[in-house]
Amino acid sequence: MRRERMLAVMRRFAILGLLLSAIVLLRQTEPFSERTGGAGMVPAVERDDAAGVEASAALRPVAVETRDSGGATAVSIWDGETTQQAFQRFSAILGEALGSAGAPEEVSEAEFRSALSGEHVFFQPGAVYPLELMSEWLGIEAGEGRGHSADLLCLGVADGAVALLFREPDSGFFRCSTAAQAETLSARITEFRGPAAAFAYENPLLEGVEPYALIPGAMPEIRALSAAPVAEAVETNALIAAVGMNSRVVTSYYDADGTLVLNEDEQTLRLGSDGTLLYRAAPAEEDEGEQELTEAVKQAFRFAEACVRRGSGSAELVFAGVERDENGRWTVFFDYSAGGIGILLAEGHAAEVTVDGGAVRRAQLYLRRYIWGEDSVTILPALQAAAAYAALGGAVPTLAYLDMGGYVRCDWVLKNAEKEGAWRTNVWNASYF
Amino acid sequence: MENKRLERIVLLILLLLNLFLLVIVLGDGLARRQAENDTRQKLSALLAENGVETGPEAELIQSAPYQCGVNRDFAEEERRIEGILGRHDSEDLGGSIRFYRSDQGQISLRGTGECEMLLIGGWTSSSRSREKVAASLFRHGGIELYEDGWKAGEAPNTVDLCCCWNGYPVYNAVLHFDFTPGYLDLVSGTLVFSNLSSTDARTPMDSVTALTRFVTLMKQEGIICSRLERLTPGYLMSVTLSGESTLTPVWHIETDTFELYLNALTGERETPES
Repeated sequence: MRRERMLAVMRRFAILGLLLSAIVLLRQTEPFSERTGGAGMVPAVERDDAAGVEASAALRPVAVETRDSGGATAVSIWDGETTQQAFQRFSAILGEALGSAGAPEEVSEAEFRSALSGEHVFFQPGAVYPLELMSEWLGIEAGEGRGHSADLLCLGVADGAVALLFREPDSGFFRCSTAAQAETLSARITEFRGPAAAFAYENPLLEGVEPYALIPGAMPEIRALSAAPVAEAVETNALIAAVGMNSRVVTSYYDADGTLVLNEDEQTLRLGSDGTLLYRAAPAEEDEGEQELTEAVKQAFRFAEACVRRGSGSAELVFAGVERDENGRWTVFFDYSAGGIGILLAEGHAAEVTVDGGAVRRAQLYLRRYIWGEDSVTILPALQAAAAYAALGGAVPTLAYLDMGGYVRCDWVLKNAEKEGAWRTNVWNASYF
Repeated sequence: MENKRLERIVLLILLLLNLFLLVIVLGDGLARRQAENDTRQKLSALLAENGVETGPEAELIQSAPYQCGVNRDFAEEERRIEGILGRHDSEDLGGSIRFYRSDQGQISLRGTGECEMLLIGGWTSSSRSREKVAASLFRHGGIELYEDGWKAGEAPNTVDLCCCWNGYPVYNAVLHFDFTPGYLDLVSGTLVFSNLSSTDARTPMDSVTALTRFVTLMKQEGIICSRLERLTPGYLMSVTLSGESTLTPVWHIETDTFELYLNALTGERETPES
């Protein structure tokens, strides 16, 4: 009896053992074995994509230029991917400089140019950037440059130290000491490759032209761009979700002019047949408090990016400026850009988003979809264009894609001094955009 | 009685099932080994056709790691520093630059991964080997080094070694160890951040594809060599934002005349810039 009980127990253990062994062997067979990546198979880490593209993606400098200790220059400009890679080469050290920057001292323009004539890296961000915003997007807490803005920045190497210099529109030039390492910056500058470039102020024939306009020795390839029909840029359900409305409870109707109007509680979304999107929400309560700049811009970008994400094609949204009104409301501007070249719309900025009390209260967007063409376009070389600007009395040489409503062309444009936000569609004729 | 019979039947079925699965697994293993040998021979033949002999240390069948993102974890960093300096003070200099100090030395670490360590009184181990002294230091700090890749540094009394991530060398995260006789007193270079933040799902090319690409490059660029010494998978680190970097998988190909790095995702040649 006892022996039988023992045998029964052993049989059960044997069944269990064989079952486990079968499972192990099954996992070893081809259809079930895990794909091996060598000892380097790291566990998957899921990114939180619910927030969409990070706001820092809107930081896309127009140009990066360097001069090494021997005086050789290199530039990346009007070439989106190459310029972004060039910027990433220096972004960590720029962040280090911004974060460790001492109190800005005002300096003369001559001192700024002196830094540019020595070993340096120069950035054209493409907009006036609050330094605390740029620091935030570089993953750094802003140093003592907080409160300042810049449309040009330079990291200069001199006497074994790195200085941060910047131009603040309507204020002047500033210089900060930093704790960034000169050897590291010098090494990065030496490794950077690109066509040579000069600043406009270095050429006496370009008097009156924006002095810090970069004139590259060779133009990059400029690709043709076209605009798809507006309907392709608009996906109504995606937009409803993007602005935070619930498609199950939203009510909708069409206006007499064909505008689709969607309502939910105090939120209204108007979507025109020309791709114009207007959003309104209830104003902020008095006790909702003021918002920090970086949070406001982040919210604004997420809102705008969610609206255009599926429809913009080959273009992306880039930061174009921020304003604050007397009530503490932030209005953030974004433009479309393709291949590192801005796209100008006749209507103005691609997106204007107003944030107040922690939420988007108002937004105006122009939904567009852009597609790269197969061909390149021929553009007047930068030096000749700058000379034409100089002949006109000077300006900021600007290369842009112009969305003419039915087609897109790339050309040098001139800001219309008489009409805010308007442009001349090339420097030789008087047609306005 | 019935139960006993049922159990015997189940035992028999499981036994047969195990035998069946064992045969499949062994068969798969044999087939895989056979396929690897065939591939190895074909690769050697391909290299030989192009005048390149395969050295005994060149392992032709390997896989590369996946691309991943790593970032700086200050809590982990504090723990590592404590392992090296013991109880210490820390100071944030702004710009993600941190300075740690104790009676045993001082260390500065940057958001670019760059570090400098000054060890007061030196660091010694029971052995006289410099490599073991350095490895001992970093073991205390929980930092992984690629101990197969020691090189003499440019200056006398220095050795260079690259960091590791998950067992793979990170070729441009190099540490320079400066020894006074028997003591390690200065370390500088680039560390790899400790925290895994993301992984890329793209499958990197295996060694077979890498070597085929290498042969193509030889023809395109007129590279001349006669012997493939080693083929090692690893990473190149690129710091994009302060405290964040991407580890890109690469193949490090060493021949008798030169060495190069092939991006395991694109097949392009890479330069291990710091």
